[in-house]
Amino acid sequence: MTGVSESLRALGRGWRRFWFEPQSPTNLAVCRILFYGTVFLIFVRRDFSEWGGVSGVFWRPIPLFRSLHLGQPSSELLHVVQAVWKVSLAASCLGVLTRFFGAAAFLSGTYLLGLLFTFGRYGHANSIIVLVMGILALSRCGDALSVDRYIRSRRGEPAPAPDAEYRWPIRLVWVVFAFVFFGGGVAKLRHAGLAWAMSDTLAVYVVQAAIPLARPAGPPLTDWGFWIARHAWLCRAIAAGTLVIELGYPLALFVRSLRRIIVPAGFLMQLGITALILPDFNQFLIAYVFWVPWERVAGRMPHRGSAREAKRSSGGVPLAESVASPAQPTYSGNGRPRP
Amino acid sequence: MSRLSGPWRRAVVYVVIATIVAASVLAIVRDPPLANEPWPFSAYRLYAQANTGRYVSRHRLFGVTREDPPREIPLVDEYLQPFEHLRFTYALLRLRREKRREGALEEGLRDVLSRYEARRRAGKHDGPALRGVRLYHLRWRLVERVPQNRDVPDERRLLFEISE
Repeated sequence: MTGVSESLRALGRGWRRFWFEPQSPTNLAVCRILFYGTVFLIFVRRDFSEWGGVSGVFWRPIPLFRSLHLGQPSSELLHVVQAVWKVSLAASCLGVLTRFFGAAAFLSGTYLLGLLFTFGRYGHANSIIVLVMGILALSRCGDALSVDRYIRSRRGEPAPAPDAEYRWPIRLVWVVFAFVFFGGGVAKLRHAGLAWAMSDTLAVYVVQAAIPLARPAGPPLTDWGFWIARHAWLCRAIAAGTLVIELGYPLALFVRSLRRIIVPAGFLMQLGITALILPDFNQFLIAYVFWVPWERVAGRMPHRGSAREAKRSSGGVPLAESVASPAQPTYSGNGRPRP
Repeated sequence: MSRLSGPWRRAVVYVVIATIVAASVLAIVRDPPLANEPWPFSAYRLYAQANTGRYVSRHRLFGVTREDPPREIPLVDEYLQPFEHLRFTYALLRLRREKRREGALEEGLRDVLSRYEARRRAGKHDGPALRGVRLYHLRWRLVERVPQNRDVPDERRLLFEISE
């Protein structure tokens, strides 16, 4: 019994460490800037209002829309919603009223991206954007590197200290990644079995994308499809590697050494899909910013303000009172325990 | 170890985590068809089917020009806006499959033609004037995993046609 309870306690400690170990706000803030900024750049020129003029014969609301009794919108309404979304994305990127605009970006973005699926379903690249917007909307991602933070510092409020609040959103995005990849691997095994890797399946998908009238979307970034398809062994090796990466992706959550292999491998795999099959898959790549330890990256670059920032951060009062437990180590500006 | 501030905040965070995890697991376990997926959650079954490697096929929409003699031009994304070609093909095939509404496919293709012409007149694309739209099923036979001619399909079957 002691062994079991000890194991449970260790599991509980591991759970809390995974989600809630204190982290400085900088990492999450950089992710916020890059994520919202890139989504804004991708969609800023896209006009959703034309969907209001499409014949109602195509309207098949997704379960989310059905449950909310949402009907086909007018072009005028879509003009308003897309303006709200684009403004909210820009404001969230800059960190202006981040909580408010983060929520607005999530609600309006979910509506607009969900709308696409009511007219015909394909692809999953947009889904992760919606989930990440939802996670960020509920996070405190505007506590650093933001206009909000600048205003607070002008009022004399201290910089936020490392906190659990800056850890769980990033970890939850990681978990979403793991489900996306693992789900893709399970679907392949369920619908095709190992034949997915041992047959010409991948070759056919690649060739299909290389034939102008047969490709599922716009032209891929390269025209290497035929060359790759001619080498059956290469296609099967890539397909087998894909299955291994997808099914093994959850390990990246818990095993740091494997994370360094699996996450870049997944990124390269999706880059390959973008280059050879689906050019619009790059929307998914945006969310990889959550895997980068930005503070460590910045720490390797020389910059003048680091000492001043560290001094300011260490003198701050934690946003969450519970962080300031006497048993906790204090943290320097880079989120590492101070000796 | 840090804790989140206050019971309400803790509850919110735990509910968010539990919702995303539970919905993701359910979507993968249930693996519903694309039309019934609990979007934005999914079983990610795209590209999950095995393929024999003998054929590549695709439904494709062509416009019939007003010229004499008329030409057929493939209706690429630019001409189908706001649809993309693949989203539109799925929508059309769904109309064909459902058969619950008489004339739905024809109504859909007429909508394509009228939007194409309206956007052309508004200068939103530079395609030629059209008098009709045709839906084809195209098929390429693969030899050693590649087609003989990537630009010309080996089979071409007309499925539906509308004209002004």
